[in-house]
Amino acid sequence: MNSQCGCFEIFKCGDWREASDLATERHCALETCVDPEEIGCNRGYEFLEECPHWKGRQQQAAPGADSLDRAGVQADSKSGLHDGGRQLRLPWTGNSLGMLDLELVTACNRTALVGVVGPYNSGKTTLLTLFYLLIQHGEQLSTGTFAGSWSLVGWENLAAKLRWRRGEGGPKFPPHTSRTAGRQPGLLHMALRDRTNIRHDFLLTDPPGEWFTVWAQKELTEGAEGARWVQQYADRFLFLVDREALATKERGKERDALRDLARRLSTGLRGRPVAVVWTKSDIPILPTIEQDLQDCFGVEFPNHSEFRVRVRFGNETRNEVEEPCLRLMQWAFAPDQKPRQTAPTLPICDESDLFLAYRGQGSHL
Amino acid sequence: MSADPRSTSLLIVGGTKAGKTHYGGQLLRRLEAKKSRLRILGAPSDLTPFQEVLDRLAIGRSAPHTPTSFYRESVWHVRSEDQDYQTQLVWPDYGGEQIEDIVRKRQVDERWVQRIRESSGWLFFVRLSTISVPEDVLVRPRVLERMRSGSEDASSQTEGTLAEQERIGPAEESDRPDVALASRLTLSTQAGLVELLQALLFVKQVGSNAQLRQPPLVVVLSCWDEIATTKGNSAWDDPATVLNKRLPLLSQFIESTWEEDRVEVMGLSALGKTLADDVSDEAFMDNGPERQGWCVCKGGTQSDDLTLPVIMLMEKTGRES
Repeated sequence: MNSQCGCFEIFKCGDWREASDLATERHCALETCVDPEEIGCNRGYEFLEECPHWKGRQQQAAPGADSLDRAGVQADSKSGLHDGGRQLRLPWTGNSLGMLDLELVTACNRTALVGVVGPYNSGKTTLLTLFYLLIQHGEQLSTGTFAGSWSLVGWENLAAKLRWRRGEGGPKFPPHTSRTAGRQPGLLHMALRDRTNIRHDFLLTDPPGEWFTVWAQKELTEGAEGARWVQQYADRFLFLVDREALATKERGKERDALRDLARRLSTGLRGRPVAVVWTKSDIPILPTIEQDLQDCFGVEFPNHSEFRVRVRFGNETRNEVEEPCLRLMQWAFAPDQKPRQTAPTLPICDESDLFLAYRGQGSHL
Repeated sequence: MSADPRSTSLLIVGGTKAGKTHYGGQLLRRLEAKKSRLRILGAPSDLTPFQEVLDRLAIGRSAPHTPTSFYRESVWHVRSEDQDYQTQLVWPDYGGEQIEDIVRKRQVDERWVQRIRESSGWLFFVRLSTISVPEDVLVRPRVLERMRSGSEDASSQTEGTLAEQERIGPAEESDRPDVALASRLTLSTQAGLVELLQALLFVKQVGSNAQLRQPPLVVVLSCWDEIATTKGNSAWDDPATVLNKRLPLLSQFIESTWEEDRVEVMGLSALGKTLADDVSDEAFMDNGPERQGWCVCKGGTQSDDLTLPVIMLMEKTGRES
């Protein structure tokens, strides 16, 4: 996996090179150490120079003895940071997370994966951007307050598109997330802490719509691996319905495509919750088309929730823009309500061995 | 955390122009005057690290920017007036770029690793007046034609209305050079401050699954006099409320990461006013720097005791391992 661009291993991007090439360039003998110069040593050494596999430039070990014997007032060497001293690499780039980066999140907490599913131009990236902007504006979710993110750069890259910037014009919609775009699809991370001080970690997918278009047509086709991955591993789904597409001359085709996609997702859904999100909700569509789709969703996603969201173009009220999006966020960032599987009852083979027979406090032994 | 249990090594964290140097100089003078709650025992063995700022303030001028690669620390033996303990206070002065580089380069120099790990409490400087939260489509909408055929169309539409944007007013960033400095981070400044705290916690090897008790954190909203916050009959706005209003993402992150009694937000005006670097402020000079400056405590109460942020942090530090 190329951790720098965050692309999925199964989708080697244009910048993909074999790990062995990268290891050579980076002076590391260990092929599994994907990017030591950027995110540090995967063997756990704080400084690359300590790792026996590191064949890099021999740097002057500068533990800073000059600066740390505190006797009154001392001065560091004025060379400061950039005198070849050893550097500890932060193990995350801040960008969208790739597969290997997930250890940062999943190693210490149960993480909910929110799969964002929708065809091309359905507003997936814009929706994620709105989530971040609302959090950044200090909007409080009843499910928790912002407790950090390992992908702040990724969020900021998205948010930049909906901000005003000097000399760059006003906000514009985030660019289309294509399979060949420079910005590779990855996972965005958000942590919230609830009122009982429990931290909840969430990962949201930001995939290209083409994945789902080809996947809806043929499940096992090439180019749909990412869509299958999202379907297999997501804990809950946001199924986006683009009202703008349903208002065009192609509306009949779009309706069919959405129904195909809904049927594909529902196959193997295994009861996982789905929120149907009507994006660009200000655009009117024919009632028959809306009803057809609602009928389909009712069959394919029993007990689904429904939301209608839009962005602000003029003087729309908070009730029209922020509130619906916040309600969707409450749903998406709700703590995991899936009943935990109870631990299996293990038979006791030797009751005379108290250690092996112990089944926890309150058990019969 | 420090090698010497009686030594309190405070990590003074702040980017460029955050007010660390001015506060260091003013704090030293307050400690020496022995009229504040925290007092120095004897005289500092060496005033060199703060001599320049002391000299500049003595003639009513601001101190120059601390050089980028500069790092010095001074050890002061101090005693709290109302508590029966003495301690060593290790006070640094350094170029704020070293802190900004942690987020920008995503690497931490080994010496900073050591400083962070030895620190027993963090004094986190945030100069609100230099940080602008960018406006976005939620707060300042614009009429956009919907994008149907990719981002190129959207770009051309946007460029076509650039004149309109200029007419509406300035964009997110200020013309002030110090604001431009504060915006150097690749992230927006607010997100950069969150990332900095996350990086410091990682280096300190502190997990944040549970809320933190160590290291305690005092957020110092520096140059408070520059913030357009109202002062009522006798009190300013509550500093924590001001932080939450101005930088909600940072405020929420701090609130949810630290236990309530292990974090404090204070306002600070180390000089009480803004000084120029080329023209002396006669009134400031005549009154003497030691009579200038104040801080704003919880609830908005103003106090002339500039040692309060340090006392606040020391009280939360080291008494509980």
